[in-house]
Amino acid sequence: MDPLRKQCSSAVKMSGRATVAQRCHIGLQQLEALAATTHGFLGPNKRPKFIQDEDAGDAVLVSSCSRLLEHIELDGSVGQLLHEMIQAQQKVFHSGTGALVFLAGVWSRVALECLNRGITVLDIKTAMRKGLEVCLEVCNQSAVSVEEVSCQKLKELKPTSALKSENQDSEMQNMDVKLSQNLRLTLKHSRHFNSQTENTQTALNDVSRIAQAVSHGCDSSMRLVLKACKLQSKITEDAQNRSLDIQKLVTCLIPGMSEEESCVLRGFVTLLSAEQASVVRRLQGQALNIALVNGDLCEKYRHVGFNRPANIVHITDRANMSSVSLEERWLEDALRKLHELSIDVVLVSGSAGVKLKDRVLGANVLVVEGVKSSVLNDFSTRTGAIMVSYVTQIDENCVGRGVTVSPWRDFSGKNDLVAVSIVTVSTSLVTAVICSSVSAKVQSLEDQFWSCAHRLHQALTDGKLLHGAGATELLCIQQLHQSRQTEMENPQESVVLELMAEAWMDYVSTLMLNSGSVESKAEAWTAIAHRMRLYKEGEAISGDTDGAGVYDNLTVKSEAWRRALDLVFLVLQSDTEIITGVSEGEHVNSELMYL
Amino acid sequence: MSRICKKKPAVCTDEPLSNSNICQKMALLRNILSTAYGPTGRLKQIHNNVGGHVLTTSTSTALLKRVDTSEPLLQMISTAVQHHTACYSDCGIFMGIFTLRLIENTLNNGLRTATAAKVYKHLVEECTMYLKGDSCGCKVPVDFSSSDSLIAQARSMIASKPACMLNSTETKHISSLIVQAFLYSIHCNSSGVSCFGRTVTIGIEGQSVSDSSVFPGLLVDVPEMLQPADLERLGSGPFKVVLFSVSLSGDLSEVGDVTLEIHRGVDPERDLLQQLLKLGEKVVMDKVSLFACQKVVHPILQHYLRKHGVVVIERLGLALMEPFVQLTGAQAIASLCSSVPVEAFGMVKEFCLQSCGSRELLQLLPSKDAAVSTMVLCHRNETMLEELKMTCKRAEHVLRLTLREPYALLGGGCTETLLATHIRHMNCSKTSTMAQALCISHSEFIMAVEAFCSSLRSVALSLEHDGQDCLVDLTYAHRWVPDIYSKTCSCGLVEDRSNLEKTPLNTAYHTFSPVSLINTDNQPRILDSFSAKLNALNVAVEMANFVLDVKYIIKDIN
Repeated sequence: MDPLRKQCSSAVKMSGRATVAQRCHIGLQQLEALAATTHGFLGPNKRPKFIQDEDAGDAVLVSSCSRLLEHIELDGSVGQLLHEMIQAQQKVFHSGTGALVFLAGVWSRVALECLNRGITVLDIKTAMRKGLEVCLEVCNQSAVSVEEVSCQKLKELKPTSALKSENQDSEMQNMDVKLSQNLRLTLKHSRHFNSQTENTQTALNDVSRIAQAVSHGCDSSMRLVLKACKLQSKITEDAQNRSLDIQKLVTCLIPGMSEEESCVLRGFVTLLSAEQASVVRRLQGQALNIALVNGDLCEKYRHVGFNRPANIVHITDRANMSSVSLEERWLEDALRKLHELSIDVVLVSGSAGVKLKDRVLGANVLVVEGVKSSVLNDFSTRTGAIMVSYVTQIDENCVGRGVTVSPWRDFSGKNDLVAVSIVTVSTSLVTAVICSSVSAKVQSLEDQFWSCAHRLHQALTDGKLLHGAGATELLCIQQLHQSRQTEMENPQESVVLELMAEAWMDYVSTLMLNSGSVESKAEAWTAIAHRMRLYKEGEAISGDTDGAGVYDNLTVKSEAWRRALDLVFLVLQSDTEIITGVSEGEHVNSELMYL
Repeated sequence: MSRICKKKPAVCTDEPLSNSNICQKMALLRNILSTAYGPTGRLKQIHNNVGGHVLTTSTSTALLKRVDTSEPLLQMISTAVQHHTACYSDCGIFMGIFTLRLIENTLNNGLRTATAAKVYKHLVEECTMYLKGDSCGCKVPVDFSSSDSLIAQARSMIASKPACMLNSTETKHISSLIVQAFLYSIHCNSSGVSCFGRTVTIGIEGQSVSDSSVFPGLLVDVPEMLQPADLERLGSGPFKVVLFSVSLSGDLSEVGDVTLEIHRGVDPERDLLQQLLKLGEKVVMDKVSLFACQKVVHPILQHYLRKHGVVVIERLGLALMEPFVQLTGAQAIASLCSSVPVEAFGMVKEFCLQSCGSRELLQLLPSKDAAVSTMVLCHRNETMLEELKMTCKRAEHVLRLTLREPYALLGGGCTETLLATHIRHMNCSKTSTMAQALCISHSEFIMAVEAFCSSLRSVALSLEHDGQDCLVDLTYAHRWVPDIYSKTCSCGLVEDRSNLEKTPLNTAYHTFSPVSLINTDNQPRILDSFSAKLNALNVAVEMANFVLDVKYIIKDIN
């Protein structure tokens, strides 16, 4: 029988201006308000936020825009759009979301102000788009090559203020010392050196300086990234290829250990139970055979797209039901297969059945669950193993060879977990082990690691960097002022460009306030005005004095700006929010009209 | 299980159009459509009440598909608009506004519905005659010897959808891509009856619009396990292709929703897999190089085929089946029990890997003249990409329609003002004869004509969203907006001059016959689809007359 169906209609909420006289735009106001909550995330000194879930009673610590928006409930369409925009930026770059949200907020304010002054939506769009073009041009003009950046850093010869406190790390310090000794040499010779070893050294020094330039206050995370990068290039022995292969990076999170214990290891490192670790100990030091399973390792698993028939009745004509269950039979088959092909290690992308996990312990086979597909792919190319969906499918050709396992650290005293590393001969796979004694911080540290890795990767791909700490934005202010004076095609355009310059002032002053170089925004504004005056007198523009040597990614920044303006335009041009699937009278909300 | 509950009596509404609630909802829908109309139209953000994905659009197709209404009359209008756009791809909002305005104007003027319907039917016939006739001042012939008017038409369509969020260079780029795709879809050397080829659209999120492009042939996602080395090993083409439409996942889904009795000891899964592997063996023996399937292929079969150097493409999807058939000439096989007949095999000339931004795609090139192309569209975010994809598909379809009727209508509201002025002039001069012929009173006829023309004008008025005046000139009857930068009318055909008299469009003006423009060097900047607008006009009047005729709504509320 048909279930009782509720008649559904759509509710309509006017979010834009209903009439010309009533010049307010709820959508833009919402965007501005939402963005204002994230101002603390701008700059190197992030102020984390606690988000408390009153229903579940737990709380999470967040220190980035993407994590914040992930955890708060957004019921309006504007919040949703902002969330989608942030996710898109995060997915590609793992960075720049703070600037994106901030700009979406201040540019919403610009658009609101323009509406207040009676400028039409079309004119606002044209002028703001032009303003963005001016700023993107500033980026292209002022971008410096990464080679220049590393030379620049050489001249400074001192670690940045933020790094000073972190100087316990000998590696970076050593590198600085070495740099000063090699100063003349490095500058004189190009990177197309004859001697391979020195060449490697130079390239790595370059990378370390670039890494420092884009560390953005996350020095310890960047140090891990740098170590990973060095490890990768040591393995590939390809010094010319100054790059960081993000696909070959894995993280392993260990809560409960101090942050100093964080490190980078070659191969695939993962946490296993004490029982599994004992298998590892027994297999240690041998060349092992490996199988890769894409899916779950249990009898019930079927590949994606396999539809289980709903109604199956098993019938039998025999009375005695002594036969073994399907699962038992599968288990025997699987174990026999593993034994026949002498497979020692099985990496599984999904999970493994409990019974199987018990039985393989005795058979001295290591089964690791929940392995990322990038790791499986690496093991496939390095060992010659072919990924399969079913263990029964494995034949001689599917088995990979030359894998070694070893226990790395034992935490059995604490939480019965042992970190184990699985390595192949030629792998460039590198695992960053991220530890924190405050378990709530582990997630933030992992996010930080990935954003550092992506920033370095992007810097090496772009080959160019932007002056950070607000310097590029100051140039934008300057350039917006200038183009306001030269091009007066439309008088309203100059108003819009002026407002956009003010939005940048807000950005730079917030940055200065957050980084602690000024006490108040007013002080920041005075400092900026002072610097702009100096610029007019012919001095080169520079950002915050503390921020010398801080650089940003060109592509990340310009993409974030473009996305922010996209979002503001989408909201600016919207006048109606339509909520589907609600029935009339369900919401007691006077704002809603029903279709 | 069954349950018994008392049936509720049906609810009946008589004279639905005198019900203020229904009229309010009608006005709301009209408001939603008219605020979304044109290049500066306001966007609508549509989402469900549980925080799902937000769709930002001003396209009637997307809007009406998502928005449901509790009012059957509105649902009917919405469905009619959707049917129209499904066939003609343009002028959906035009149709919606015009229909709803006609209904409103009829009610506001207190016209008898039957009388009004009679007059509207007569007027729309006159409109059709005028638009199809040679003396029509609203249409321009489409010149196929150059791409200009095709590009202008494509650009007008993209520019009228602000949610695509393109700047002027991007708009130019995309319009030329649309024309390129359109040209790819016409067979090069065909004689007699031939049909259009296929254009497949792929969207890539997160990439800049300028990365968009059109490729000949078909682009599909690179199969998971395919390595560039595998392609090299294949050598040079052409390659033999086999295509399956049946699921090769090895499940029992084909038997449908029935209860199966399976004897213990029988393992249908294993037997099916054996069958699949037998199929694989035959395919390998037949020297097939590309094995494609609409649905899932069992991993063990895939493994087997790959081992024998066959490229496997699975999960092609229903949408790609027809283009794939056109490209390869293969016949889709719907059973895995019989062997593959010789005529079912197809051919592919070449495979190559194309990287479009962040995505790697496998390009299949046709071995013979198959007009299949793939348009890869890139945009920075999902909601903008969705609108762009839809708009491009529609624009290409509109270009195809021009081959049937090689005309375009003046855009920017000029067709509406011109048509309204023409119809009003025509009918004012012969009021008495017409009224007599339709058996209605003189004044009723005049009022109905006015209601019709004012509905047309209100569509032209809906193009303005920033509170500016809309003007009409009293010579050519084109639409104007007071703009210091623009020296022409909205469509770009008429040049401004000091003695050209203009009046606000929403005020009364005297009737006159629009002067047709001859000897002008100006080319219209904005062009609308001829076929689409003509059909929209006719269906709108039919719909309005139908709604006006409804006396009762009976709702079963059980």
